[in-house]
Amino acid sequence: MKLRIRPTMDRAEIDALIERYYEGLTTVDEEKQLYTWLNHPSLKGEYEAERAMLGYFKGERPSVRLVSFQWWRQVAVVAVVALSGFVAVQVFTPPVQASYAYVNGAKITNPEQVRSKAMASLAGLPSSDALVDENLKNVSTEQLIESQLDVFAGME
Amino acid sequence: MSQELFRAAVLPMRDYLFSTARRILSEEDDAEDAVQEVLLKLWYIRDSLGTYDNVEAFVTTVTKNHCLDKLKVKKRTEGITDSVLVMQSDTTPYELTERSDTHAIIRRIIEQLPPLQREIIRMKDMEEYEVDEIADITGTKPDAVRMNLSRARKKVREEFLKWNSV
Amino acid sequence: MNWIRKITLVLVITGSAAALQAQSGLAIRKVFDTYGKSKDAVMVELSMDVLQGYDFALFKSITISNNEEAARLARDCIAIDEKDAKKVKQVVANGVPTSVYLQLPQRGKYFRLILYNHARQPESKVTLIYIETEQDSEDVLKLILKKK
Repeated sequence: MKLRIRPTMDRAEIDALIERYYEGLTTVDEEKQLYTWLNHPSLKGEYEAERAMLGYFKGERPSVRLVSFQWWRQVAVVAVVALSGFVAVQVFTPPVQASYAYVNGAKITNPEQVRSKAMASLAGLPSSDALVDENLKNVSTEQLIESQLDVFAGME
Repeated sequence: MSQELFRAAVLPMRDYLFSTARRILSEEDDAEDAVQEVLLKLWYIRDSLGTYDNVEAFVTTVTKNHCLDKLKVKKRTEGITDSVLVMQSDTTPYELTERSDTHAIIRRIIEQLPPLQREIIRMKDMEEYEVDEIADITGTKPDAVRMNLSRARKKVREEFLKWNSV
Repeated sequence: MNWIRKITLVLVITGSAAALQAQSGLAIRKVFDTYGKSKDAVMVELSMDVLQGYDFALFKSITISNNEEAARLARDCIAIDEKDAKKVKQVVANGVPTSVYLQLPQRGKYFRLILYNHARQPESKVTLIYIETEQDSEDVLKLILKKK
């Protein structure tokens, strides 16, 4: 059985589904079906917006864990073919030995300096104690918020 | 466990949060949007809700701060049209040319959507939550969620067609 | 046109292969790519090294000063990556997260963490850190966050 889309009948079906999509009425399965239909070669050049939207969400879903975007996957194949011996998009390949830092755009490669920059960045994080304090601080500023509300109440 | 906490401690506060939001934002529509945005925000961090001694106080503070922030943004953007907001992009033409794919454009457009629409479209289209589930979390009716979803999708299409014609 | 675009993309990708592979699929990559080499930014990448007594496979950090747009981008990217997270810890002030700690699902033998902080005093400074480690991420987080 051939799976060719017959333009006239199925186009009406596609249009109807698209209308429901924009009304927020389609189910997940209907949207998947729509995406499949819209990627048929006979519809190339049409329904650009819908294909882009459905394709985007499909690409961003957490279930597509290792490779986020479909175009990425295609490019990864090209990369492996075009540049032999080069490490392409391989998640489990051991990381390349590389330690460097960029400070205001200038590159540093001295390991000790790079390490000290790394330590400095860690110092930018609050400690877990500070985290708790911050939360308490937010709660106790409720009184401050109340007085701010009074200001807005007076603006009616 | 965090889901139960959300439903048991946060959702019942909805009416109170709405009246709080309304006091700050005046407009009922803005208040309603604010409450839904806050609930969705709290839903995403539901795992850490249990670490707060006083969840109610925390939720109230988050709501007040969110509304004050919204008020600031509203005052700042009054008079600026939507199309200008979309064009105020930190994506340079070079970057767009180099990436040159619809994915980047769509992402940009979604980032520019009003917060509630952005969150609902993410929950529905990316996380595959059902409309009923989103209505549950935000304490609204499914029709209200559908309306926001519809607006978001139409806006994305509208902006995409503008970008694509450039 | 299609294949030209693909080759262009390949060249962009292979130019940042190391960073790419570590964060493939993560939105925060955009922050490093966009601001890593800019003024008022310090970006660090350490591979297979030891810091503060724990060893890790990859440590990548960026600190950006006085740039609200960068802060906004970082927040948006964190919000995307947060969806995949196993665990999230946050500090929220004025309705906006000022500190976020994400534990991502393991990738192979590597635990992965994202740490984000936006300090406003004495100046606006955004810190974003990505770590891959074979050690349990819970232990690593405790080490990083212990009182200094």
